[in-house]
Amino acid sequence: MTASLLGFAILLALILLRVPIAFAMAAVGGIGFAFLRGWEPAWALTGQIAFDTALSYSLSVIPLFIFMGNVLAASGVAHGLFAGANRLFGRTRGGLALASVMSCGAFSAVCGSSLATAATMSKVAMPSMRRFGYDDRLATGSIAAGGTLGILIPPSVILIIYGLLTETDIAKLFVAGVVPGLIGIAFYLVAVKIAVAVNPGLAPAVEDREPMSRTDRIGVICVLGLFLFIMVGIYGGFFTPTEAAGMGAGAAILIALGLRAMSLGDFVTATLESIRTTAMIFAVIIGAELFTSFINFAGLPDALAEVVLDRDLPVWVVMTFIILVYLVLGCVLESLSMVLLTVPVFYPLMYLLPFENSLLLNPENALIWFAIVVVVATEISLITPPVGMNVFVLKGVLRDVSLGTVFRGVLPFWMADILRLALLVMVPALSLWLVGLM
Amino acid sequence: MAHHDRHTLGRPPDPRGAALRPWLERTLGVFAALILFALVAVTCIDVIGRYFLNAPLRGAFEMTEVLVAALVFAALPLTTERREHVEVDLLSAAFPPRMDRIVAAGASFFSAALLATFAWRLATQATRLSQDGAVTNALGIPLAAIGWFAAASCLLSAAIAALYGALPPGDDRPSRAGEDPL
Repeated sequence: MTASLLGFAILLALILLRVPIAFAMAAVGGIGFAFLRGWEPAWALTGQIAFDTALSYSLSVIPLFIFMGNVLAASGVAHGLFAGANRLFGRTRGGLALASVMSCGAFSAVCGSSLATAATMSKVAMPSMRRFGYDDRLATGSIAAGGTLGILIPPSVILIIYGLLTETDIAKLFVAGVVPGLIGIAFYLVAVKIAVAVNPGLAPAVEDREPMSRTDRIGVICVLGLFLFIMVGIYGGFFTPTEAAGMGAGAAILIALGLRAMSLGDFVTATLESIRTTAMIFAVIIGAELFTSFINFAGLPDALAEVVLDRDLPVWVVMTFIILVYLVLGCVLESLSMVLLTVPVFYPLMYLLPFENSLLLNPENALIWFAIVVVVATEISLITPPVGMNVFVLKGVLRDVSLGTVFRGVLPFWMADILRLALLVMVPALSLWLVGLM
Repeated sequence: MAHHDRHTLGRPPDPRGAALRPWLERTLGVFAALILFALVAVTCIDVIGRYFLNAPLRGAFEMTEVLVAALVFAALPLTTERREHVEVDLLSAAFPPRMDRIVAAGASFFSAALLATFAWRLATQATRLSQDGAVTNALGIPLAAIGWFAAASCLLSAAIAALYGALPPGDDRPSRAGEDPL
């Protein structure tokens, strides 16, 4: 226990000194392991983990889903989604902000990443909201928040990683994210309506419709079709979630070619970006695996389980503690490192906690429910000051907006998220209902 | 996606990579892109073959594994060169500029040392695999080759990180507190 806490402290210090998180985790993990077990085993472990992690069939989904999302982002379907969502809501006050939330939700159904969703949608939604005189706070807030849906609505890279860490069925995790994702969209829509009701100055009273071309319409159909293709493929048993990533990427290339809005340069950029993101993610995974080997060897998960069982802590106390850990960690870490570092420590508790809800008595269900809770807590940290990553992405795309503006704009959505998290924790059936139907 | 924005809009490209980048992208970048396309093709051919031609691709599983490993290590120097490894610079603004530069250089050297260690461990791994003559089951791909490639990639990345530690920075303050891949 002491060794693990010391390890975490050193890790935090290195991260704050701007050492890349992946390398900090690898160094602390490797050296920590060496102190506990000796240098020989530590050296052997280092080479083995790096080699085995890269040579992995199940992790092939990561480059493929990322490639799929990046190609679709470059293909120009985003504008169609935005314009289509705009038509859905008609001419109501705040209609374009509603459309931003909705189209972020739609794009995240074909993109596994929250950041990519926010970056892509901001490019189409932001100019339009500015043109109609939306307050920057509402405009940026709705995109930053909408983007967080990217890691909950399947496909989701974070849920895949969770599945690999805990040996939970990825197909079940994906389906568990659907209802909470839809609740997320609904809550965000309500948050927009409440925000403009409280402060009518946020959105113009009258606005024109976002124009929608024929290509836009085809793009919307393609995105919906691709989502259905992936879902039917996985749940109809035609291909595994791993294969779905490759098929999805192939289909995304065909869609992009068919729409003819993507230049060769865009395609090259999307490809190179997917490649670099892949190396970055694998570096984090390798680092986290080394760190986790050390933490497990130092006995942190066991020590934690002992504390919980000895003290007879009620479930809600433990869950509140875990959620607070995520919200606090979100101030320093990004979502992937956060999940990789914490899930191995916390997930064994799901087998031990004295749940009263009969659904959670099945450990597999408890793990699936916990995955959704972890992802939503992580999502919240993506828009929480001072480090909310989605906010920084928007800030990078829109350089004339201040950070404070985005954070103030995100506030109504943040409150909606806290409500949603409480709801999902208290009503596990929301996450598990669709899983039960499988 | 974000990385795209970061470099076109977020922060100016690091001038230290100016000479290196086109060369890296023309060599490892092209190689990695071909691997990524191959990865897509392997899955699609396997699945389509299985359902429509009743002939799944032989060794698709292994091919995927080997391609992923090759992709990751071909890409590592590119990611390192762009400084796209996730880092947090919360305290950056609190440090005086001089101190901040020292911290940044220290972090680069730390990264270089770590990557060099990985290069050494992967080379050891590769030596052992080559002595054992380890090959994949269905296709007989020698695992040692992947090990050597991985070691070389880590070594090149270590050299790039060390170069960034030694050269004065192009921009002291990246515009964001961190990057999130997801």
